Amino acid sequence: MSFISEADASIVKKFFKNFYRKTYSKLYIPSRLPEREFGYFTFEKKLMIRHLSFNSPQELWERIIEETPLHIYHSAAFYKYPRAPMDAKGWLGAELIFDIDADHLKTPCRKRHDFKVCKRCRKAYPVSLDLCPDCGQSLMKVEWVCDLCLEAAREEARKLLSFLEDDFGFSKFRAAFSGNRGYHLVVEDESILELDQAERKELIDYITGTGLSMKLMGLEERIIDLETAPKLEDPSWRGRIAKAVFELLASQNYEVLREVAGDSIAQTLIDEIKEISKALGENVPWNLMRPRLRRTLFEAARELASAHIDVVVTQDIHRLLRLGNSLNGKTGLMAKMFNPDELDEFEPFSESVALPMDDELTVYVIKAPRFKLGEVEFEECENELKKLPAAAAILLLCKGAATLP
Amino acid sequence: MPSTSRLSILAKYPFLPEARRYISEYGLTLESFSDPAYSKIVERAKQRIVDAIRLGEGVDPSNMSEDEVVELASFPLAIILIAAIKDRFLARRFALTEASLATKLLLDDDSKTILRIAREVFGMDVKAEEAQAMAHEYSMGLRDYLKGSMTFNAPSWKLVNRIVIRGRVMITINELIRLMKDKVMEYVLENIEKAMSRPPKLPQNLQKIIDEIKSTLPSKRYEEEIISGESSPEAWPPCMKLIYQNVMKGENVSHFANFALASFLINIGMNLDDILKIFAHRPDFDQRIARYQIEHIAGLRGSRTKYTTPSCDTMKTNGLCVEDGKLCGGVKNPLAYFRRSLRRLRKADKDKAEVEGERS
Ligand code: SF4
Ligand SMILES: [Zn+2]
Ligand SMILES: [Zn+2]
Repeated sequence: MSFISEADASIVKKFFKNFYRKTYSKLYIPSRLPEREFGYFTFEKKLMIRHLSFNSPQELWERIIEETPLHIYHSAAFYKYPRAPMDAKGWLGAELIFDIDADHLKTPCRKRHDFKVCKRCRKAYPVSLDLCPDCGQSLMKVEWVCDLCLEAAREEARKLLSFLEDDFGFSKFRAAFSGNRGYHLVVEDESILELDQAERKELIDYITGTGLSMKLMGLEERIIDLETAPKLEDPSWRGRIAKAVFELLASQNYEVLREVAGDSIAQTLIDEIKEISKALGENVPWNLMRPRLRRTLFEAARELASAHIDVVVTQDIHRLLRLGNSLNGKTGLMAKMFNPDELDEFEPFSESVALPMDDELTVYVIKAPRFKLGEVEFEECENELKKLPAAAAILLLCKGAATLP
Repeated sequence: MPSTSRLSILAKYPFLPEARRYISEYGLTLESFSDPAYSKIVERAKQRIVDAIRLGEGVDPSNMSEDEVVELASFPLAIILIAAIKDRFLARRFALTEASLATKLLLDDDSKTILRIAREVFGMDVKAEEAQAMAHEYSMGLRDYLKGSMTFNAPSWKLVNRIVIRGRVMITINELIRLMKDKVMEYVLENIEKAMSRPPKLPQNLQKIIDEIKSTLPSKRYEEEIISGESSPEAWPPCMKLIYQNVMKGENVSHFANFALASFLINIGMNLDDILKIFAHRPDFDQRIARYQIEHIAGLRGSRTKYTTPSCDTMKTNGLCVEDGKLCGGVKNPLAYFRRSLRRLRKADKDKAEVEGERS
């Protein structure tokens, strides 16, 4: 909970309550509802209330309206006794879940838009500080999310979907915006429900390219046989590696190379690439590369082609997952579900706006970078009293970037 | 290897459903084996067990009988005998031996038969691939592949290094047969378990064979109490205790786990012969190879570097750490755990000696 004051929390809670009163029926109801564990945070307490279960959507709706949770979650797993303590629940299987979080993606914009706030002095500071220079209190970090962050997350989600469909052949998915910094993808295919942790780990290693062997692709020989080396038209990881390497050669994009190989050795490699790119034919000229360039390109390709998922989430067969179409208490935005086929068209900062834009609230903004909600753009501002559409004011209140005057 | 084409499919693969049907229609009971008319079957059943003890994975089809009924009937009979001997180690070794025999026969067989057995007998989700992506003739459903390949450590079995297309993992004929080997082993073990759960009364001549075999088995397998004194398992970290117990039970233990245990035992100063006796419990134990490997780890061969025990981090990534190290108070290496608990044990001994000294 990042609210600056209790008053901030209680006004946000009012809006949440109203939302759930009106739109409870749009909440996602997971399959096999009675076998799922539910848990939630309230606006008041720091501990999660969990080991709950609901036999019908009505029961769930009633509880949500009555309690107005700050965050609400359900298990990806099915249990015989969802209310029992963890080791007595009787695990029956679990959906395969993926979390892509811009937070893990090292987007460069982060340095520009993240900041810290002193709750007492109501002032913003750079992330590098730990304590408030005025009062000595420890500062609270405000992680902002921008279009660039979410585009990066979307790109990872695209790669992930390709692994899941083209390679693994899964066909039943649901997708959701997390309501904050990323995307959730859930595989519902019957065939994966009973996979254990070790088996899930194999899928994770595949998606992240962990343990991918250059040698087994025939790329560690002294003399490369182009017949057995990865080609553009190959399926699976072979094709991914070939395509990524080909693109690196064709685009002569050295940024990634520097990241993988380090600045010092990059120059000699770059000269070699320039030479090779001149005569770039129909496929990857593995045979023209010296071993070190081959390895560097392979590593860069693996980094580019793998999907950056939160591996802990996917491997955890007891994980709780944010309830689809519920509100995220870190932003007041909705964890909006969408059709995975429409990943490219999904617009997180408008489709997830669930609180009113026509109602207005006056808040004291400590700091806010530029942002956009729905059709409305908000200019950067700091230490200013502002009248804002309710949805925007609540976004700032939830983040602890604004407070009631 | 002698030609096996002379053998009928039933004789080669006595676990086939039609082989079982054939036998039950033949009307053999355990009593009938006291009749000398069936002595060939009894002899072959005994031979199967002796092969398991002597040859293990080195078994080859040369001992197989030309007589279909003998081959067919000796298989379930051997299972009954193994069950009656009640030696878990022998049971696993027998299963492994039968699986190896089947594997060798499958390698010589035509692809239609192989595919049929994989699908119909073992319910494996495999099919022939026309397109033969990169010389892979078959494909297996993703889930079955994961379940079947988990125990293999070689990087080539790891999913990320496979060609996977729309839920199908491409495999070669040899890989399919390797996966089937585990299925045969499972099948044999299950049937031994079943036979153990309702032990039949055996005619005298069979009981005699059992006694004979028992007398050739080591009278006492290497038990925990044999490792006494300072290297007793009492002082070992939980991860090593667990691997050790699994080895002693004759269960399948990954290569890495074996390596971890061997290097641990070497580093705590156990002598090579004692270590060998422990690994003799592996169903696929081969004295010569095991000795070589352990000497290698001990730095007596090859590169002459003594291997250290894998760190807790490495143990964790290989899924061998117990309860995430909660029982170990933050040690970084299993050896550190051992040294610490040894100190504690020594101190406790000293305290005890002192107390006893006072009493006397
Ligand atoms: S913490 Fe280390 S010593 Fe303890 S069980 Fe895990 S791997 Fe073994
Ligand atoms: Zn302050
Ligand atoms: Zn950003």
